[in-house]
Amino acid sequence: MKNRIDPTVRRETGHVALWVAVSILPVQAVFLLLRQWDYAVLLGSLLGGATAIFNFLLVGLMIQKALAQTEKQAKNTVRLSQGGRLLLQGMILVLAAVLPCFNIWAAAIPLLVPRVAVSVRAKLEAKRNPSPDRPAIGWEDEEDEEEDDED
Amino acid sequence: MLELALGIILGGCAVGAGLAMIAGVGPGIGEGNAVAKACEAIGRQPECKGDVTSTMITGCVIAETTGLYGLVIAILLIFVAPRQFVNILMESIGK
Repeated sequence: MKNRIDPTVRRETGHVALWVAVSILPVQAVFLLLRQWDYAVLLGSLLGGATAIFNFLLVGLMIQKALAQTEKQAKNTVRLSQGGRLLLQGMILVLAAVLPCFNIWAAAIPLLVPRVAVSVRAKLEAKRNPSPDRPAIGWEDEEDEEEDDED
Repeated sequence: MLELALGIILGGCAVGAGLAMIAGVGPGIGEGNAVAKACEAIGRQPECKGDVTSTMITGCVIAETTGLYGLVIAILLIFVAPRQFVNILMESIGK
């Protein structure tokens, strides 16, 4: 196959898909507590969740493609892709707003989950495996100290 | 007078939605610059490709959320808010 999905992209997408699937449950619970749950909430969540996962996969594929190009081509690819993906998500949200079988709030919330998933994962990994590279300020301080010692 | 109030509500929502969509421009430019620099980095150190890809995905998703916030607000302003505002107006004038 010519356009194979990079293992990193596949792994990250799987992780985000898991997060999105888990995040749908609290949304249903909140709507149940508010006594406003109906099938539209479930369908809206599923639509929003599927869109979020698909969008994340497209981000990964876009980066995979862009990293194999020259700088200028990569810039154009990313801008074009970002516009297209925003349009796609806008159309999905319009669909959720217009059709009565979808709840717009339930469709909008899962779209924001990948950001949370990525941030939390980055923090957890930083805690689990502290990077041997120290921040620039630390390096500068150490260099200064070494210089002071030499003096 | 009622028509004027309705017009102001609908116009305000439309203008607000348009302004919210300005947020969609920034992430595209920022992501483009970031990925261009990542290409440069991979060109220098091809062995870092996996790490750079992973970091880029994280960065792009975080950067893109700003545009998504704007999009969600714009859609809500167009499809949800006018109805709510008109209901509030009708209730306040007792219709």
